[in-house]
Amino acid sequence: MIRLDHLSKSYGEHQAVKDLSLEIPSGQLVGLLGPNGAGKSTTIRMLTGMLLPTSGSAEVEGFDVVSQPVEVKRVIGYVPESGALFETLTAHEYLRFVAALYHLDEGDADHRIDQFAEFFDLGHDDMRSKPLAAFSKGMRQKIVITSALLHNPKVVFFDEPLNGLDANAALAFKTLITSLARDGKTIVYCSHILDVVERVCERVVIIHEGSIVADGAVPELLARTGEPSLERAFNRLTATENLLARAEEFARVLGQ
Amino acid sequence: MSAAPVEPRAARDAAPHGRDLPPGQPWDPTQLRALVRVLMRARTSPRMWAKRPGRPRGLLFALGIQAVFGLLLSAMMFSKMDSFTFGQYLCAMTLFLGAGTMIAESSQLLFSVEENDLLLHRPIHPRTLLLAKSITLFALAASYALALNLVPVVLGAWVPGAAPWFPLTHLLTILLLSVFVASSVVFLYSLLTRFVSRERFDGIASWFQVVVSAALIFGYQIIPRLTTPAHGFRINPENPVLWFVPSAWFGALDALLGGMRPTPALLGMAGLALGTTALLCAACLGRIAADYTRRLASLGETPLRRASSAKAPATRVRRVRGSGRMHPILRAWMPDPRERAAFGLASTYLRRDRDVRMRVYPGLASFIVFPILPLFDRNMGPSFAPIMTVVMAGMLPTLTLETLRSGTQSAAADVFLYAPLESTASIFHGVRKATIVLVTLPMLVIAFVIIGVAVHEVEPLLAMLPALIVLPTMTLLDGLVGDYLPLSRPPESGRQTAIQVGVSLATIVAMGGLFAVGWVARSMHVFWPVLGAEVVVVAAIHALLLRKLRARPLRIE
Repeated sequence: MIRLDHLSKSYGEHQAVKDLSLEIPSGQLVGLLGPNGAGKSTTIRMLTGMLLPTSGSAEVEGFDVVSQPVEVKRVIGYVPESGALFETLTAHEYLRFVAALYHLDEGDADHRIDQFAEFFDLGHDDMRSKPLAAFSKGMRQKIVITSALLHNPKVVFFDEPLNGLDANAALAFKTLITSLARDGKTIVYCSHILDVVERVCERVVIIHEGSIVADGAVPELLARTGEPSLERAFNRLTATENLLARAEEFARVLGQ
Repeated sequence: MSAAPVEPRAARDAAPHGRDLPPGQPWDPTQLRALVRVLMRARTSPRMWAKRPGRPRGLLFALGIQAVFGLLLSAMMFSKMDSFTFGQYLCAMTLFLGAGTMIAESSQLLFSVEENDLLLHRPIHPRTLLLAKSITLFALAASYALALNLVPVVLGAWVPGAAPWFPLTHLLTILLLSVFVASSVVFLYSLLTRFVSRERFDGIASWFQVVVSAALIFGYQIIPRLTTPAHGFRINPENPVLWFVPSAWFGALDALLGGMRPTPALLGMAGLALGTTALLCAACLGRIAADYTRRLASLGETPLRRASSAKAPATRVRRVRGSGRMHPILRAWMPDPRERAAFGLASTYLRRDRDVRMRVYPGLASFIVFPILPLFDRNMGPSFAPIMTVVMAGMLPTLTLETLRSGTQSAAADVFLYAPLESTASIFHGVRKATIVLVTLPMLVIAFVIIGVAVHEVEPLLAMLPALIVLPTMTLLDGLVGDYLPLSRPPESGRQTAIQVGVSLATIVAMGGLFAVGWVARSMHVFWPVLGAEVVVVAAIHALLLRKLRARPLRIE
């Protein structure tokens, strides 16, 4: 369960997140959407204990993110958008390294790593002999996802998790997170690929300029905005006026 | 060294060659300006890629320290030297510090694989790109050289035999010397890429750096001792050894331009300075530049690890297994799994990462050069090598720890921020112990063996003990400076040099002082009681620092 209570974050004069209040019950798969710079990543970084809020509070599984950050970090998994890894290590070395940070027993860690390697079709030899620098982007993303789920967290934050994944891996991943939510894990899913969010998430929260502008199930949002798809609804709630017409006009000017 | 790899035609054809240059121009001036501006900013502003502008504090500090060195160096002019000797010493110091810095900084600038994605698909001619990088290197080298020579260049006008215009001509000489340094570095690294396959480039390049650094230190220490000083502190320009010393070539040029009477030796050496610099520049802008981007692209290709060859999988797999199973003694020393994880991370980067190796390994050359100096100079006292060894040993853990603080994948270190860590203590101790076990101890053993052969006295070796006892405790201090998270900072130009100089000064004072304490205690026959008291005090401080480190919470912004 996640609870945000008037959560705000400012960088000097700029207020990145404004007074967010939200409750996500256990086992819910929530899509967190917003245009670039809306405050999604800042919100997630506060919920993962990487960033201190300026005001307000937030709890993850009953632990306060400010006063109990270590307890929060024990129960969460996080797939950052950067997908950065220590590329000099092999995949196996990296995952063993992450497992140690969570105090996982080496035998258990190896067992979990093998399970994920099998699920993601990662070759045993590649995992142990190739440095991560030699992995393709998709393979690296699989390692990032594995590292976030290795310790069996109760809450998982995914920031653009499909980056670089091929169609088969993406399909498998979507099925995986749906099953994880069914098993009681709370999942926060940030993405710009709205049709995936539309299909996978049971609830969507849209942030714009640091504030929540919509919160509800996809059919509710569509009914509220009178739009046929989540993409159009998102556009209506967050974009400037006449975006499509402006894009067409700009393309015409560019072509001259 | 292996022979140059034969690249498949497809790879050659696919390699970027850049667009055609404007007619009659050897490079594109617009692109050149833009590239130099951005490359300089990337070197001096570490947060550029992190979207957080920062002042180049490391570089500014390094330049300040160079200026202080220059001030100390200019005291030489009071020792009645001639303009050749003065110029030779200034050029030697400029070359030693400049080349050392360039060697450490240049691999990231010349062969940054991360920059491939940014630049190699742009229509940039290889010559323009290499020239931009060379100019950036020259600008860095010239900054260091100018800072070092700031005071001597003014005071040089009062050196006996120097003309009033000596400051101006010396300025010209050191700028030329900076061109020589930058073009030498580009030339030598380009030769490496030409003759070494990309699989072996990383390994060979870091050992090449060690050899060059050792040669620089060796040359700087040995050559003046081999030359025959004439009339007190003056170097005789007729000494044939000087023909093999590049700083002497520029010293000769400096002296001639500064008004010294020409002699065939001076003219010959000055000609060598001009000729070699011109040849190096021509080589860099000619053949080397023509296929620079292709070589760069080749280095950036997915490394073909030996696992894919028929012969090597066992080697590769064994290495990885080896890094997974820790020796029982080390395991007992590091019961915390997070400490062991950090130890594994640091040791892997020390063994495999090009950038880390290139920043750490050259410093190791001192451990070999200083102990063997007494073999070449019998006038050198028996304490010289032990003193230098304890000073180097004092610097090494801090320099290695600081090197391991930066990494090209600094965003990956976010894992320490979202992992459940109460403090950075366990991570710091893991990295610290890796630097002790894998770097400091082996180098101390090597130095001891060489000193044992070179110095046949027990006294100086015993006098090292008070300094060596403090060593493990000194390594704890790094953990108290900010949150120590390995590989969490982007590499910054000048930072390594700034840290090196700062740490050197502090360590010279601390370790030199402790060595002196040992020496005095030996001469007063109270060595062992003093040593016992020191052990007690150091143990108490060690325990205190450990507690302080454990109590430091991980700071979140």
